Amino acid sequence: MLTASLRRWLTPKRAAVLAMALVLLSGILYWVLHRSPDEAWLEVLKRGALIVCLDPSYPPFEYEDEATGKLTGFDVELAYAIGDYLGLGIEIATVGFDGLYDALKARRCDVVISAIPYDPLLTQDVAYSVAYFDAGVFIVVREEDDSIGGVEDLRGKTVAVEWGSTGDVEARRLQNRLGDITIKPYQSPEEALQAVKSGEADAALADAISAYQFMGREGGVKTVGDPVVSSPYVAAVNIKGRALLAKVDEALLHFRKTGYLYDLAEKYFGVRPEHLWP
Amino acid sequence: MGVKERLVIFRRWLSRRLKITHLLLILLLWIAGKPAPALVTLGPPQKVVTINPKMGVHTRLTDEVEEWKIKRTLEMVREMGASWIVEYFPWAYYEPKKGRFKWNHADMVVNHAVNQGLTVIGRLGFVPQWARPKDTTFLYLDEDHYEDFGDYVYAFVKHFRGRVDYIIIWNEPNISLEWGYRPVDPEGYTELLKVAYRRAKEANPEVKVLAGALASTLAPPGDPWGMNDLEFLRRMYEAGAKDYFDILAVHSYGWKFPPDDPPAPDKVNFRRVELLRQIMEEYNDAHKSIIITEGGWNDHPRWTKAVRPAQRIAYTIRAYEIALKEWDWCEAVVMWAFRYPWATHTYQDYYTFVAVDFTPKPIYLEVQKYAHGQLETVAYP
Repeated sequence: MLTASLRRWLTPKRAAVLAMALVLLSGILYWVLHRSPDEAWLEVLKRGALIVCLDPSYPPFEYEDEATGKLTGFDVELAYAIGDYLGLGIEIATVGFDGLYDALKARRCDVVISAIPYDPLLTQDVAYSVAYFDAGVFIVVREEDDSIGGVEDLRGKTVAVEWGSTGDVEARRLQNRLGDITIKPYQSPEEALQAVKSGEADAALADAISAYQFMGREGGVKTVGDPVVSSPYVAAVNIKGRALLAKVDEALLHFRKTGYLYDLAEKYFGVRPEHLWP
Repeated sequence: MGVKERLVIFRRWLSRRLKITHLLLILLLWIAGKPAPALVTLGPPQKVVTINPKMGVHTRLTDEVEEWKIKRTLEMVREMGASWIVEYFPWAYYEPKKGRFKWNHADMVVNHAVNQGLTVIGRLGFVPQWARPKDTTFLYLDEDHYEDFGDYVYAFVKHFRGRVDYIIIWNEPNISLEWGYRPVDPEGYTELLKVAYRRAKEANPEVKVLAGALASTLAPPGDPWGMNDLEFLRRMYEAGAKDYFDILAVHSYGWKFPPDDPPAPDKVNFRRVELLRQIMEEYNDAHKSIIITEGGWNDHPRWTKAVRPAQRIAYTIRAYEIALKEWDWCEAVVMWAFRYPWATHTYQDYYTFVAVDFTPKPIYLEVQKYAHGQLETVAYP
């Protein structure tokens, strides 16, 4: 009886749809069962260590400690912390900045942690982690100044910039948009920030690294608001390293939550920034 | 003929008609769906307005496909106040088969440049596959094919007569990479120069042939990767190059040094060109001029050979000023590089004056102010 009703129900059209669904389902099943495992991650597990590429010429993120001759810096400590979190050893491979992505491609290392900014044009070739630092351009004002909280408040103000820098580019853009901004160019970011501190300028547009270094060393100024331009630093893994990327992300999100990234910033800049990642 | 047969014939006829109708319909849809080509015209002829007629930039239009981008680039060069451009005209692109020349793209670039009032210096090189052995690089040219290169030079100079009257023969022949990964060979390069010079003058006696375009390098004797530029130039003269060029092309990068840093044989800086000039004088060739066909500073935040953006601006303007005020033997200073068609994602991006999307960098705006006499003083950090 069941067979008879099934026969009635199973018209040629329904049979075709059913067959197609079965083919599709078996295809998905095959893909799930046979998809290639993340070889990068398997290799890391086998090795018991994560190979990290970095260019140690960029203090305070990665550099050689003159006293000990050892590599140190924000990124170096972060790499070791990721290793600890994942229960892995860390091997550092030093590579010139322009060769970092090639080194990753050539599998000379598993991950790049070297103050590299997120680049949307490279996402076909590499997989990026979540951001752990924002090195973009910020508004910097005197510590006691509460009148400026964002770009709109720069109307009618004098803005110091390092001549030719990204801050300069943004200041010119804002000048075109808001009109009433006086731009004062200086030869270095330090001079621009000093001008804010001394009252020569109302605000500066400076990159986060210069700003935090100045805040830690000299004091008297602070960053306000969201970054005018964001430049997130991220770790990069091979595009096929899905499992590895998930592990790195997990570690970084954990460090965001525990405040470890703020601790690192405080250690290397002498200041605890308000805004550390986008 | 029976009804059945007639039916068969009718079906065949209908089927053929339908096929033709379908094809016509597809063709129509294809034509309708195809966007009309953007209309880019030369526009009225322009002139460069500048206080320094020796200013130049190296453009990178060889791989720029869209005409509006070519035009915009050259407009921006003119608007910045630069009168000279160096552009690459790769042999392999324009003579893909022996004796078959395709000048379309080159014509487009040159016509727009000339219309903007710019003086074009054509850099010639890049060997086609048919003129070199298999498994060699585009920069490998053996003596058996010097005459083939000469034919290209002849064809180029003849075709662009009156539009491109300056040509550079090869690029950085004192670097092994640029010499097809062979040991560099000043005598061999001089032979190439002789062929190219003869053919260029046959095509246009007025054309100026630039030799050298030597890379500044301190390579020690016997270095497999290159030869010291001072040594290379001396050996060119010894090999008889003197009568086979009109202008010496020089590459003059400043690296970390300011433009006024004095020259020394053991130092690579902007004024190293003065040492090459001395060698020209030694060989009684001082009546000829020099053009710096590549040079400048880089402001990448991470590169160890880069300077700060403020330094780059000040150094660049000062370098143009030195050529104008102090070097009467220098016809032009051409800075590397105006704009790239796409980001390289390396330190190279920090040589440019204009971003890929044509946003002018501060260096562009400051050099423009200088060229228009609006920059009163430049501090030298």
